Amino acid sequence: MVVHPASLALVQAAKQGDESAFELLLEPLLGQGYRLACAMLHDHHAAEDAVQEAAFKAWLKVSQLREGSEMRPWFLGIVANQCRSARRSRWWSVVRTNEPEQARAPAEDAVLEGVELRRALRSMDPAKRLVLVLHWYLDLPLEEIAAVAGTTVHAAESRLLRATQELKRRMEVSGGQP
Amino acid sequence: MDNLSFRAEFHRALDPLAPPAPWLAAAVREEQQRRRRKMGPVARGARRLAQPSWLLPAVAALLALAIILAIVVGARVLLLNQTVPVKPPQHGLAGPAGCPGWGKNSQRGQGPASDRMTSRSVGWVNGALRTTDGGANWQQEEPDAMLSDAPRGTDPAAYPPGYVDYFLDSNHAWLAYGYPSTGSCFDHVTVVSTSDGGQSWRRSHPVNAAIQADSFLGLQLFFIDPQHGWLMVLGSGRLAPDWFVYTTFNGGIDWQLLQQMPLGSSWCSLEFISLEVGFLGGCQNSSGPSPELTVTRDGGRTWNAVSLPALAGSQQFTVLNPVFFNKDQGVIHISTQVFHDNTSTQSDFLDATDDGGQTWRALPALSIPGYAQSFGFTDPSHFFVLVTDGKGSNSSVYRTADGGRTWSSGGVLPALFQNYPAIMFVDAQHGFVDEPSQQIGASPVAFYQTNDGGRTWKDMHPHLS
Repeated sequence: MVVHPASLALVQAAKQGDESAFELLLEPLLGQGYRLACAMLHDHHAAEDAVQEAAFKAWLKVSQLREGSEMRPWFLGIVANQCRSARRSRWWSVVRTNEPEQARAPAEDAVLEGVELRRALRSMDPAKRLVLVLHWYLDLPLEEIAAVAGTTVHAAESRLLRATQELKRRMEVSGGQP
Repeated sequence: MDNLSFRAEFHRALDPLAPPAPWLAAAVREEQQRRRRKMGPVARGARRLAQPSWLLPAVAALLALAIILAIVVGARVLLLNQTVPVKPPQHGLAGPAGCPGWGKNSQRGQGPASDRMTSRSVGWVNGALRTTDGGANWQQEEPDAMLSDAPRGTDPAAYPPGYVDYFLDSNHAWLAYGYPSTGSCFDHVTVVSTSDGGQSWRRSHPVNAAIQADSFLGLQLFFIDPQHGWLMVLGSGRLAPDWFVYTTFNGGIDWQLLQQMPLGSSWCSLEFISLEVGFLGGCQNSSGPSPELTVTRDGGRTWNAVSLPALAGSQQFTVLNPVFFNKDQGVIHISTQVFHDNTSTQSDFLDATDDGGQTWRALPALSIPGYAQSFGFTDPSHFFVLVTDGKGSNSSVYRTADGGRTWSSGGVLPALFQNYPAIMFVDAQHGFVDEPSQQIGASPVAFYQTNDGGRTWKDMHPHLS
C-alpha cells in the first residue's frame, strides 16, 4: 500500500489534535463516503446522516489510526460500519432488503435504468455488497477493499469473485443483463 | 459483459441513488465544529491524553465481571421468586376500545383518487401499487415499516386508519396514516416517503396531529416537488371537525402546523401551483348562488373564497380539482345537479383562468351526449372527457384540440364501469382509463391504454404481480 508522505504528515498532525489537518484529510473522502453510503443504504438522506456520523467518529478515533495506514480505507470502513448500524435501526430508516425478486418489464424512464442490478445488489449479503460497491462502483484497489472490509487481500479477492458471480446469477434470474 | 461494461452498469444503477451533494463538505464541517464545541475543551483535551495500554483491557475485564455477577444474581432471584412480573413485548397499539381498525376499504369514495400514470409505462394506484409496463402488472411497494405498526394479528394485506397516498412522479411517493396511543385513536400521523420508486422508504418524525378524533381521520397529501409538500388532517369525534394544514420543506420528514381551518366535514383536496398559491378543490356539496373555489396566496396560512362564473338554474354543485398547465393557465371542472321531483340531472361545465386562478371565465358549453365521468387535461388545448349516458351504454371518449371550443367523438371503451373511472393522458396521444378498486392495495378493476389520442383502447388486463 502506498503511503504518501504529505498525507502521513497530515495524519500525524490530526492525531495530535490539529483540526485543520483532520479536515484537510477528511474532506476529499466525503464524496466517496457519501456514494458508498448511498449504495449501501439506497437512501441519500440516510446516507448523509451516515457520513455525518462517520466523520464525527473518525474525529474521535483518529488517534487510533495505525502508523502507516491510509486515511481513505480507514474512513470508508467507518462509513461502512455506520451503514450497518443505520440498517439495524429500522424504525427510522426503512430499507427493504428481503423483497422477492420479480422481473419487471424494461422501463422507459432513465431513472429506472439499472433497476435489476440495484434489486440484485439489495438482496445480497451486506459483506458481499460492500466489496462489490468498493470494487465496481468506487474503483478501489484490492488492498484498500481488504482494509475497509477488515480482512486480508486474498480473502477480499475471493469474496469479490464469489460476490460478482452471485450478483450476475441474480441479475440473470430477475431478467436483467448479467 | 466485459469488466468495463459491468463497471458502467454499476454507475448507471447506483448514480441515481447518490444525487450530487455539493454542500455536503460544508455541512459536515459545520456539524463537526458544532459537536466539538459541544464536547468542550475538557473532553477534547481528554481525548488527546495518552491512555495507558493496560487501561482498556482492565476496564473491559471489570465490565465483563460485573455482567457475569449480575446474570448470576439475577438468575438466583428469578429462581427463588417466580412471581416477578415480566412485561410483555409491545407491538402495534390498537388504541382505546372502539377505535377504527386496520382494513382494506379505500377512502376514495370520500375524495379524489390518487391513481396516477407518470409516464407511458410507469404509474401508481392507491395502496402504493406501481406498474412499469403501462398498467398490466402491478407490484406492491408499500414499506415493511407500515406493517410493523399494525396491532398483533392484523391481516398483512390491511392498511392503517386514515391511509392516503400521493404520487408526484415515477419515483417520488408519500404515504400517510394515523396511529393511536393508549388514550387516543389518532394520536399522531406518520408520513412515509420514497424517492426511488418504492425500493426504500423513509419515515417522518411523528406529526402531532393536535386533534381529538376518535371516530374518523381524514388525510390529504400534496407535493409540488420532492421537497415541498402539504398535509391536511381532518379529525372528527368529540370535538367539532376541523382541518389542520401542515407543510414540509424537507421531503416529508418534518412537518410544521400552518393553519386550523373550520371547514366542517367537507372533503376537499389540496392543489398547489407554487410555494405560495394553492387551491382546495374537490369540495363536495358546495351550494350557493355561484360556485366558489378556496384559494391561498401565502403558502396555506390564510384561505379565501374566489367566485367562479355563475351557473343558471343550478341547485347544487361540486367544484373539482383545478388543473394547471403552468403558473398562469388552468382549467377546472364543475359538476352540477338540478333536481326535478324525485330525480336529478347532472350537467358539467369547464372554467379557465389565465392569471393563476385570480379570475375565471366560463368555457363554451360542453356538447357531449350524457354526463362526464372524468376529465383529462394535457395542455391548454387538448382535453379529454369520459362520457356515459347513464342508461347502461358503454362509456365513450370525447376530445377537444382547441381548448374546449369544439368537441369530437373519440373511441368507445369496451366495458361498463361500476366504480368511478378516471381518464388520464400523459400527452395528446397516450392515455389511460382506470377503473379503481374499492379496496386499497388491489389492482385496478379495469385498465385501458390508448396510443392514438383515445380513438382505440387496449385492455391491459390488470393484475397484482
